[in-house]
Amino acid sequence: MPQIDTESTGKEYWRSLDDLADTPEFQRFVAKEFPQLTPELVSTTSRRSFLKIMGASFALAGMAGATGCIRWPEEKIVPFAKRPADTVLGRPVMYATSMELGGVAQPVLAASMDGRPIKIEGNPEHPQSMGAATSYAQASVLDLYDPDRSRSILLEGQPVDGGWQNADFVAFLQSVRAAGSRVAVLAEASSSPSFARLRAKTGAARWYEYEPLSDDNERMGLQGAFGKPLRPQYSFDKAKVIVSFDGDFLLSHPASLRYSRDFAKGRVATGGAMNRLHVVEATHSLTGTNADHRYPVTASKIPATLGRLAIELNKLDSSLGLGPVAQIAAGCANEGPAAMADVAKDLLANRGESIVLAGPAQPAAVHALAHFINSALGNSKANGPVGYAETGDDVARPSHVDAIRQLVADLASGAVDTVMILGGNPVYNSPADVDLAAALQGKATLHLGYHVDETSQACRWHVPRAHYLEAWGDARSYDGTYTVSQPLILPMTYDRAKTPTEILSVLFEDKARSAEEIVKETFTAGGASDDAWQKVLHDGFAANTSWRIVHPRPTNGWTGGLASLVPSAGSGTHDVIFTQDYKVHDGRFANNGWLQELPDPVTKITWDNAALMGLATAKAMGVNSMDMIEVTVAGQTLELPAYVLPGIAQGTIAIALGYGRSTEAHPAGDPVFRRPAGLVSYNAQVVERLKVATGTGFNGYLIRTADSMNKGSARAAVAAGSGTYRIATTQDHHLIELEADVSFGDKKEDFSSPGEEIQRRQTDILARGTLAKFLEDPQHFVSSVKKRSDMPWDHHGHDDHSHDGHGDEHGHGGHGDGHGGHGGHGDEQNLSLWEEHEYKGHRWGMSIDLSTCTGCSACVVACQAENNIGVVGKDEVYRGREMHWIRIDRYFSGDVETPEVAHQPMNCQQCENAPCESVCPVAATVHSEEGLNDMVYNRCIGTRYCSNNCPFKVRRFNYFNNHRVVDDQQNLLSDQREFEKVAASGEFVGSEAMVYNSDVTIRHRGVMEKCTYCVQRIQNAKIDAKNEGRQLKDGDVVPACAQTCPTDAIVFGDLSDKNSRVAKFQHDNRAYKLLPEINVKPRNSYQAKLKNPMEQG
Amino acid sequence: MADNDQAVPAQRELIFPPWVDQLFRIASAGGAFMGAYVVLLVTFGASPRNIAVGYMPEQPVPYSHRLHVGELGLDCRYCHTNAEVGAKAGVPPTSTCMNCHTKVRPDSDKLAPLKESYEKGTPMEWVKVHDLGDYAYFNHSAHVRRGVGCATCHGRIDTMEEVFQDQPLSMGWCLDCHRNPEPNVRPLDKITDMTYQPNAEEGREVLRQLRGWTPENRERKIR
Repeated sequence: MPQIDTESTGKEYWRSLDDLADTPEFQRFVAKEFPQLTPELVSTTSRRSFLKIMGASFALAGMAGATGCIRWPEEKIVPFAKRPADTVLGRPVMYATSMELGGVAQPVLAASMDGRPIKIEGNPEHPQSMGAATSYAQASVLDLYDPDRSRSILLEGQPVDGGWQNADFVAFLQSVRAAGSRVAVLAEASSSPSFARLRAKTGAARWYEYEPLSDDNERMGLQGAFGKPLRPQYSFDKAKVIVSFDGDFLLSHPASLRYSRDFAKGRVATGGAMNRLHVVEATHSLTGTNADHRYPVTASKIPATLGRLAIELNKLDSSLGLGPVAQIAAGCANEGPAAMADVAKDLLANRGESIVLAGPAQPAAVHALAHFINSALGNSKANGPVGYAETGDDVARPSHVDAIRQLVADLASGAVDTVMILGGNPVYNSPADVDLAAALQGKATLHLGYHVDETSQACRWHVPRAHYLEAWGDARSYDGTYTVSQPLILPMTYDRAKTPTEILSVLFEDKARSAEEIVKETFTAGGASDDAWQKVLHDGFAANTSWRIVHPRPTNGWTGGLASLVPSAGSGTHDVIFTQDYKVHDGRFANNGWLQELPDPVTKITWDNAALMGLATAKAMGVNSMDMIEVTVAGQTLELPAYVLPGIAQGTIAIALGYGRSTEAHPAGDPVFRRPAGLVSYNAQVVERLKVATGTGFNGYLIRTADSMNKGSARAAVAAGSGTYRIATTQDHHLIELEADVSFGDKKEDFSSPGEEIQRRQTDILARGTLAKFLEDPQHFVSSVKKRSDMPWDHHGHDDHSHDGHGDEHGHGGHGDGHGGHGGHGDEQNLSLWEEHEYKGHRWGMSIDLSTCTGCSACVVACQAENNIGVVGKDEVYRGREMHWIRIDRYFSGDVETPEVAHQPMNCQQCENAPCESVCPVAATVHSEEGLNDMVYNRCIGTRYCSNNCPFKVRRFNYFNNHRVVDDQQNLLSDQREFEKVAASGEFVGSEAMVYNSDVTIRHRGVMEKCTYCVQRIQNAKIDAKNEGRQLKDGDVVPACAQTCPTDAIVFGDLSDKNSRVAKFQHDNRAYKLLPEINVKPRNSYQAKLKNPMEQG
Repeated sequence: MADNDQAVPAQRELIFPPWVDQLFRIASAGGAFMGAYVVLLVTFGASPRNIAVGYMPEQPVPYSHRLHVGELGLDCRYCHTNAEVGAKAGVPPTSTCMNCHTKVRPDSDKLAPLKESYEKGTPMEWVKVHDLGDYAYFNHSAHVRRGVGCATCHGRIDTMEEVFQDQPLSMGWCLDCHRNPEPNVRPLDKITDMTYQPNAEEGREVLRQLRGWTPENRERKIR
């Protein structure tokens, strides 16, 4: 790790600790235009052998040319035998469906192109989505085509003949029915009413429910406080002050889409008011990066910090009724940061309009106390920001931790000898001190799963599970709305894949029924008509079926757990917490290339997890980022690399779950698979390896004990290990940096050091300030927060002065009433070397609001899915060759232990005077008549001059053929013999190619690519409008990133239309454009980030 | 060493004999001719006008457009239903064929693949005749609904026993029309008319009406 002297570097903004310390390595990395071209990084092939290979290739190319230039390969047209009615070829049909994730329905629209599901979008009508979709949901379509999915019914690893009709299998299923109370069903959390209905038919079978990441602690806490199972429902749009104790409601929460949208409403200073977010947390969550005040507190002291808040509140106003609580929690009086007194003041000043919430990892007592405080402050009164949904959950259901413990105990005692594991991967993700694999040994077991995974290997039978895009189902969204899912495609498996609901029907009903029948029966049982059912299928949900919101007051007798808030001095040196991963969740998406390659929104790590720690912790241990360390909890040791992330509380180590899926990446003997020896003989050829997940990261479940799941953290002994591990992070990639030796007119700038100038420019790239400052003088806010406010370019209107054919562009009111604080000088322009472009039609533009952008990265995945962007793998990311067209730049600023964070989405700015266009020797990037910088892929010869000349570093080069899967598939289809061979082997080749969007060209090796503003969507919308004989309306064209943005931070439209949303945003008081001094005139504008910290003193 | 020194004539310069000049001229002329020949050969020989036009692959069923369109008078859109609404015109599903052929010549050997497809539900595999580059974004509806007739690009389908490519479908050919659409567009009720001859006069009138639709069409070029 770099030596960092935070006093002397004086950097205000930094992307990483290397940046802050300005190490020579970092300077070299940035100085190179193409760090990814460093010869030693590129290849071990010597120049001589390269020439030899090339010579041979040319010879072959010549021969191919002789035959190949006659005509390109023959293609087939394969129409439907019977085309479904009302289909328009080449246009996706949208189906409203839903993905159940951890027992909560995520409502989505799935686009089906000629029968292939190709893209997942949010369901605009559903109150929990409003058109947005999470990264998880959007990437889930790739899981459908995962070539590693299991496709057959397996007995001890071998496919059985006849599949569902196999005599042994049928006999096994019958024996399950006969086994009565000796049968255990281990299910994932589910809110499916159909599943619940069939559960009632399971008779004497015992039921266990387990999720490695659940809100059970919250459920238990509220059950204690209110005496019945309730689920909190927050209205962030009604809250002025939000205090979160480790609650990541902006991303990992099941209702994060709704919560983000509501939260963002309070971040744009409408009417001069903004909400204020205080976050107390140990790790650095995405919610923490968006906080106005963030208090890093080591994990074990977060409960005590809430106790202290209660004490401070009681001190300020004893009429709140917090006296008894303060007494019980008196031991917390000096725990946590002293700033809790300020937080208490802030809360009291906003009684009835504030929210105190706790994260799902926090122990039950914390949740109970948080809601007691809400009640005391009047936040949970009717129409207040805090309400509670009556879920009607089973009060008696044990927590997930208790359930899995109970199952192992019952297996050990012999009370249970037959186990049906319906989904999930509990052998991998059960608590470290619960040895499920050993308990399953020798029992009659069945596992329903997407992959042959750790759990399958511990079970006798394996049945392929149907993906949600292949199956009928129903579930409730976070607010309880009845949401259905419907299949878009038949299961892509040899033996019919089934859902847990269907398995229950097979096992426990007299006649196995299809899920469609079961789900429809569930819905129509209440007397609903067939028309109503059709409407539900169309909408994806039944309106007004959310749970009733109630506003109870806590009952007495809940305070029992409060004494536990005070941290007890446990063994160990550090607190370890286990977090939900922003990419692979609990590990279920580990085999998904899109998610693995997505840079983590906070750490920017791809393809791995690591032991995250703060700078002080790392210094004390004497380790650097990427050094291996050993973390020991309850006698189990996990070796993994350290990664220093500014802002993580001192003494805390955070490990994201869901990685470490292979024995290969770990030393021999490491019980990653925990496969019981001698039980199951899996044929190596049949056990489909998880090709993507293999070798990524380290398995945190190995040291995650049941106790730490209840408490939210564990005490661990941490020691430096041996060796290092290479982590591919994108945090320093594509840094916007310019040589600083410039002077402008007669205003000479004395740049004492380039670094200083870069820092000054950074305030231009990322303009931000406080609400108070904004309200002082909204019109000149942007220029006032820029350090270089007095530069010549600021005196000109910075709007792109196109010579509009209608002449109405010039001097339209905008200049007079404040262009982001730039004083109006009418038509005066910067002198430009370029001729101005003329526009007669549309002028597309985008506006990104940095105040509402939370950095969640859903846009990155949306872009990847929409534009067929390749996955390059960890090694290539390490070389800086990731292909994402939109990236989220994350900047730290301020103190290295308590930094502030800002996120800035960066895509092609579609410059008016585009530097890329003027250097292309073959005119492969040209200006369109609507202002886009078009890429003409088949002209591109790969000089990369354009990327060299791009000030925003948004161009991406295909160093390799990232779409080999398409070639594989085409080769296979053109070679009949090979095709038959592969078909006979049962291998799935090229199934991922089905996910490609056929409206977007696949880019081959050697071609530059970049954001197109989703030009295919623009063209489709234009053609549709013309065919209908109407004008394009504002909102007809929505790029994939803007469509999925949970906070609506990205707005796109026609700048020629003065009434369009984007035109208004671009002339907003907070609007500014990047790098005005180089006069490239970007089409993107940004809106300055506002923060709302408390007044000092 | 001494012997060798004597063997080499001292300081004698190499002088080309005069006929080398002549050879050089001939070789230069020949080289220039060959260069031009290769350029011309590639330019014209490999142009879509010569390579693509006339391409007539064998189809699994010898479907005759001449019979169905020319003699029986089926409208293009009876089968290619998608042309007016989508990017692709669409080859009809087997079921469209069988609307008639369950009654008309149901036992013909030539129709056997069709029958099999219909009964088993397996698709027919037709060979693509008009094959644009994968990088080309072409939308049928945008053309068909703005006065570009079927015959303009596909030729006199009604006279083709087997379908062949009639026009080069090259980029230059596209641009010829996009830069000068008047002589190539026709009234919207003549779109599928195989015998209509587009002319600049009527084309201008069609464009005048269509351009009222959107502001982008006010300029001369059609995007």
